[in-house]
Amino acid sequence: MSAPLQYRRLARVRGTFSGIHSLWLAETHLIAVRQIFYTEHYRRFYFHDIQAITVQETRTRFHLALAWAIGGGLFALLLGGLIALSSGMAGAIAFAVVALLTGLALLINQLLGPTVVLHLVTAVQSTPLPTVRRRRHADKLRRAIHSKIMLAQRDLVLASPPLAAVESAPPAVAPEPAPLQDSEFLP
Amino acid sequence: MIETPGTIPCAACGSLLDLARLRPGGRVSCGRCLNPIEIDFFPADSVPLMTGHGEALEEGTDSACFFHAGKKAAAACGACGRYLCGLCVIDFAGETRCASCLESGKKKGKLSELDDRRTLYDSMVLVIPLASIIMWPVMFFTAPLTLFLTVWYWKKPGSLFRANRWRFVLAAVIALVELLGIAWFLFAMVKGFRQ
Repeated sequence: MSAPLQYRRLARVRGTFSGIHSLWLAETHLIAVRQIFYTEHYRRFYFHDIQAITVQETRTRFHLALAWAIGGGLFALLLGGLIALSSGMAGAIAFAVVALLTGLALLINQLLGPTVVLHLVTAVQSTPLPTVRRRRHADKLRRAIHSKIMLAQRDLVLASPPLAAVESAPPAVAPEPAPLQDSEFLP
Repeated sequence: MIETPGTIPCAACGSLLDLARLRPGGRVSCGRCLNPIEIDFFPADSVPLMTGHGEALEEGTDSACFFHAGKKAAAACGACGRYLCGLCVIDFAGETRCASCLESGKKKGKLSELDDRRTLYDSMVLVIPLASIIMWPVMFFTAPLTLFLTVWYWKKPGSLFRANRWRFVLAAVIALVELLGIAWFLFAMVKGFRQ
C-alpha cells in the first residue's frame, strides 16, 4: 500500500448549494473536495498539468451589500413603525441591534475585499474553485502553488528556446491587448 | 462544474471566452463587458497533448511491449515490471505504470491517488446514536446497530484528510452508554413488575 499523502488545507470549508467545498495542498497536486452528505468527492489537479490560472472579479460583493442593505433597511423600517406605534424601549433596542448587525455585515463584506472566481485550466478541463471567492484567497492560492507548478514543470521550462532566441523574437506579451470582438466569441 | 477545455466563462457577462485568444497574457479583459481577467500561464500551456503511438519494433534488436507485440518497449511498469510501448506508458504520480496495474490498484483500494470519492463511515455511524437520543425509543435498535457498524466499517478507508477514528470511538461509547441505560431500564421494569 502506498504511503498516505500529507495534505495541508489551503482554503477553509465553504458551504454552497452543491455541497461543502474545501481545498487541500499535497506535494504534487491540489485536491478540491466536495462533500455531499457522507460522501467526499475528489478532484485532483497535478502541478505538471496546470496550464493556467485565471482570476476574474465578480459582482457578488455588490450583490451581497445590496441584499444586506435592502434586507436590513426593510427590517429597520418595520421596527421603526412598531416603535412609533408603541413607543417602547424594547423596540428601540431591537432597532439598534438590527442596525448594528446590518452595518457590521456590510462592513465585513467590504473588508473581505472584492469577490472573484478562480479557474484552474488544464489540457482537458477548466474548473472553477468554489472555495476561492475573495481576492485575498485567490492571491494566497496563487502564491502557494505558483512555485510548485514551476518546479513541477521545470523540464518544460528548460526545453523552451534559449534566451537569445527569445530576445530576438518579437515580444510574446502584447503591451495593450485589445479586447475581444463579439465575432471572436465561441458560439 | 467543469467548463469546456480551453474556455472559461466571463464572470460578469457569462460569455464563453476562448483562452487561445487570450494568449498575450497578463491582465486582459472580456471583449463584451470589459471585465478584467488575470491569467497566469505556465509552461505546460505550450505543450501539446501526448499522443504517443509507440514506435514499430525492430526484431532482434529491441524489446517488445507486453501488450503490443509489434511495438518497441519505451519503459517498464514500476509495479509489475512489464515492458510498455509509448502508447501503454502511463505517468502516474511521477511513476511509470501500466493500465492493468492501475486498474487492479484501484479495485483493491491500494492507490489512494485514484480515489475519486470516499464515504465517511465514521461520521455516518456517529449520527446514529446521537439521533437516537432525540428519538429515544429507537435506542433498542440503534445502539446494537451502532456497535455492529463500528466494527464492520472500522478498517474501511475514511476521509483522505483525517487518519484518526475518534468518531467511531465516540459512537461506540455513546452506544454502550445507551445499552447500559436500556439494561437499567429493563432491570427497573422487571423489578417493579415483581414487586
